[in-house]
Formats: sequence, C-alpha cells, structure tokens
Amino acid sequence: MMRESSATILSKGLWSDNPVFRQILGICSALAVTNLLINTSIMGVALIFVTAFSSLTVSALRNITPLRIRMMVQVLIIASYVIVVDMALKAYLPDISRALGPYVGLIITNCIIMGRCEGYARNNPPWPAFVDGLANGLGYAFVLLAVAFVRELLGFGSLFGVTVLPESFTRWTIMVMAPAAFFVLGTFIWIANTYWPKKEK
Amino acid sequence: MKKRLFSIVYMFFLTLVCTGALAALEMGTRERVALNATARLQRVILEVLALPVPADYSPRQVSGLFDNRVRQTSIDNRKVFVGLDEDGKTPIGFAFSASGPGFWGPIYSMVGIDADMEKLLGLNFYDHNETPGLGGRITEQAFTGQFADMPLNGEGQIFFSFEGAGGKPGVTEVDAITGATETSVRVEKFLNKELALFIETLRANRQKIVSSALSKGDEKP
Repeated sequence: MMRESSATILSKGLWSDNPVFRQILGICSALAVTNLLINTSIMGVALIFVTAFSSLTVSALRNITPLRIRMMVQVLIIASYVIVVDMALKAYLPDISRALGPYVGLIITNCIIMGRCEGYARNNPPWPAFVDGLANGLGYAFVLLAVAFVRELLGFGSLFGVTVLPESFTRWTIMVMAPAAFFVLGTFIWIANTYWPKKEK
Repeated sequence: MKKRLFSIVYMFFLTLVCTGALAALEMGTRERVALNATARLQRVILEVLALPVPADYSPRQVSGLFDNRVRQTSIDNRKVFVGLDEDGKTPIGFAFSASGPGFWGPIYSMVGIDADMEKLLGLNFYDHNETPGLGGRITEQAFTGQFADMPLNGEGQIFFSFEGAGGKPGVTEVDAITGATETSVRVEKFLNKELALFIETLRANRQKIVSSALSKGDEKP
C-alpha cells in the first residue's frame, strides 16, 4: 500500500472525509458548544490536541499492544489526554472551563477520536497518525466554527463577543438554543452534499 | 496463557504511567485551581459590597483585597460577609448568599446591603445553569446594575418587581430580561422571599454580627 502524503491526510480530514459533515460523527458536542465563537474555538483546540496526541500515542504503542485489549488501551490514553485538557482549562482559563461545563470531559466519548485511533492510528506509523489526528480535529473545529459563526451572528448580533450588527437588528432567539445547531448543521451538510457530492468509490 | 499474562501486565503498567502522570499534574495545578475558585467568589462578594475590583486583578490580588476589606462570620448557620472601611474597623456593608430554583437548575446570588441595612449595595449571580444568551444574561452588568442603591424599607415589602424592558420606572422595579420570562419570574420569586427572611434576621442581630466579625480576623470563605 502506498503511503499517503501529509497533505492528502490533511485535506481528507478537513474536507473530503470530514468527520462532522461527511461521517456525521461527534455532533453531540457540535450542538452544545456552538452558540459562542470563543467557546467553540477553545473546544476545537481541545479536540485537536486530544485527537492528535491520542493517535500519536496509540500508533507508537501499536506493535506491542495486545490486539484483544486495544480498545481498553485506547480509552485509557484518550481519557488521560482529556483530563490533561480539563485540568489546564480549570487552572488557566477558569471562565471558559465553566462555560464549556461537562463538554470537555465528554470529549472522551467523542466518536471521532476513537474512530481515528481504531481506523487509522493502530495500523500506521506515528507521524502520519499524528497528522491524521490533527486533520480530523481541524475538520471538526472548522465545521463547528462555521456553525458558531452563524449562530452567534444571528443570535447575539456579535462575533467573538464584539457586536457587529446594529441594535435594530432583531436577534434570532432560536439561534441561541441548542436546536438551532441542528438547523445550521443540517443546512451545512445539505449544501456540502449538493455542491460537492461525495465521490462514489 | 503467556499472552494473557502479558495483556494484564501491559495494562497494569500503562494505567500506572497514565494515572501517575495525571496525579502529578493534578498536584501541580491544585493550588491554582482552588485559588481561582476562591477568588471568583471573593470578587463577587467585593463587588456586591460596592468595593470595585479592577478587571485585570489576578486571583491572588483579589484575595489580598478581600482579606483586607472583608471579614466572615455566621448567623443561623449562614455565612455573612462584613465589608469594612479602609481603616479595617468600620463596617460599610453586609453580604450574604441567597439561592433558589431557576429554569434549568438552582441559581445562587450574592446580595450586598449597606451598613444601616436600609438599601442594597449590589447584587450578582455567581452560579446558575440558565440558557447562555437568555436567562444566562442575569450576570450581565446591565441587569445586575439595576439593584444598586435600591431602598429596603418596611416589613414584608416586595423587594423587586420585574417589568418588561421600558416598563414603568420606580424605585424597586427592575427591567426583566426579554426572552427569559421563566428565569426572570423565578429569580423575582426567590429573591423577594429570601431577602425578606434573611434581612430581618440580619437586622435583629446586627450588633452581634459586627462584633464577631471584628473580633476574629482572617477566616476565608
């Protein structure tokens, strides 16, 4: 099998195999943390960190990890990195940590990370695995930021907390509530599938 | 058999490494996390006592200011924070926590009243689960600022009544939050009830509170 270049892995994670709008993975947190761009950015960074380093570690241990306990090992590694992120946020960004609430801890159950460990990292060397984790984390962050952009703009009239729409603009209250993420994400997937249909293998 | 044994030993050591690393990290950040949490509450207490805290103060500076200007005591098993003048002897106000049910979960507020217990100095909400952007806006200055200097006179009075934005102006009317009717109604209800009960207790025990706060120095919340 020919090895993919880092650029191919990146473009796959970001677009052609994007975990959120191509594979519809990890959307629970996509609904919960996308009403403000600032929270979404931190969540994105947290997820990128966890996917990249979990993939790297799983890949580094791939030749000695017994096959039958590999899932346990993966969960242990992912959970450790998530706790690192959670502690770092609590210590250095307490306000953001409070805003994200339980969703940082819930990164452990995000299917994207386990999916990459199981589907890619355990069969590939550390560097491509790291890039793959990074690419999928970026793909997730990019879609979430797009959703948050629409929700914060229409729901609060602001971007990253800075008001950009005039007071006369009627705020769309629904955009602040969780269901709005369904509408925005659904529209996003619809547009992506209409204009850039997935190539049949 | 050998394979199984290896699996167990491997898992054991991997868990040991991971939990060991996390335990070390936890030890390293524990103090900072605790200080963040304490300073957050201390900032709220200072602010409702009308002792402004500069926005760029670090948690440690907030704690320092708090230790200088606030003493803690209790009455009926509830904490009361006594704000002091710069000389550290004259009380300038009292702060206490009041809580009640919100829309999604309990809401915790900190209430500051002046030394004569005749008006509010400030009021803020320090813990809640209301919808961000709707009920969650109870913590914004535009909302909490309305409580400053509100008179607290008479027994059994209704302390606040929430009006829609632009409603009739009056000394104890507060503009409610548009789109957060449930939160507003609940906040109004529990604040009126809690304040009526506890301010009465405070008034009855004012002397006791002041002397006990001044006698003991530096307990932290």
